[in-house]
Amino acid sequence: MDEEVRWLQAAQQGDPQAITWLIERYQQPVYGLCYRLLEDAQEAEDVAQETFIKALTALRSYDPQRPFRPWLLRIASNACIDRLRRRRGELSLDGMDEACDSWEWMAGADPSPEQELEAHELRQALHRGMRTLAAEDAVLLKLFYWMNYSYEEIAALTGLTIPALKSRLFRARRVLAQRLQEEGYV
Amino acid sequence: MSEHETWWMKLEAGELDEAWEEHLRTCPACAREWAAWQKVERVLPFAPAIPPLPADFAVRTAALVLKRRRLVPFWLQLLALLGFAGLSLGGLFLMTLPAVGRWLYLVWVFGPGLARVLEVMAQFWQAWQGVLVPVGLILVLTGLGLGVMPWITAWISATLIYCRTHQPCLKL
Repeated sequence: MDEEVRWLQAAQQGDPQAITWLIERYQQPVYGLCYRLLEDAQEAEDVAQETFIKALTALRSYDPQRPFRPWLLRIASNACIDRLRRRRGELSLDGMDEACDSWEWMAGADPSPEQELEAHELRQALHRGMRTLAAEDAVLLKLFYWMNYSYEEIAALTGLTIPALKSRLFRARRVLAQRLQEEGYV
Repeated sequence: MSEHETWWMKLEAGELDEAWEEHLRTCPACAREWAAWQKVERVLPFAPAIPPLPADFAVRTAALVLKRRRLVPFWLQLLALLGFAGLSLGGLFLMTLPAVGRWLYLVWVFGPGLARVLEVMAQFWQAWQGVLVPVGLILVLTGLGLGVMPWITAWISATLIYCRTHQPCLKL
């Protein structure tokens, strides 16, 4: 029997060791997802914690033969979308440009020096543009570009079909391109 | 729909190749948007670096999960309370049936209509007291909370029934 299934079955019985094992195993992916979607360390930690509490208290009704990771990440991404929706009404975009101190390249081979320079100039504009997108569209872009998830993984997380997902990604990128034009970057 | 939008719809559908290149040379609006699109594509893969999680995150979260799992919903607590109260009262009633019967007998003196009912109850008690007393005790114990340990209840009930049916080793 798969090791994870055994731990899941033990966690269903309320075994504290199994619960800790599951949290330790998935804390980085869940927190990483929350941080990239919310861009706030404290909020990401809160949502990651809520995700584990929600998932592990509902574990009695969970079928351990089903893959745990997508189920858990789906709970996390839904919680982040809820936060982002609430945030839209509460926060202004002013003063949020420097929310993230450092950035990393997520697309395989290292970026060229020109890309680095261009990114430095454009990142904040793109970031502002992202915050004007619908919460769901911003999440799709982040899952695809910032988490390097495949179309299939994103479709499993969001419940979208792959053609619908591709279409929404295309349109979201187009909105961002239009924002860059409006801000005079082209 | 404008011609500009038509071209972009074709682009979304993946239907363009050389024709798109040709169009870009003659359409400044599409060329500008395409340049912006390419910038977006080049910059989007830069993601915010993830700061480290606090070292005690797993331990703190596990403690919260365990605390939450121990909490029983209110409606279930209420149901259990009512159930145990009902079992206790039922058990006490069975155990005190002889005393109640005697008391009712006095009532019977003043109320001849109850005679038949009391007679039947007394007969029932005499015939079944070997079972009624242990069952009543079990219900009381269950009602008092021993029900959460079914093996204790089972052991007590087996002992009681054995004693009552084989020899009067336990006088209740």
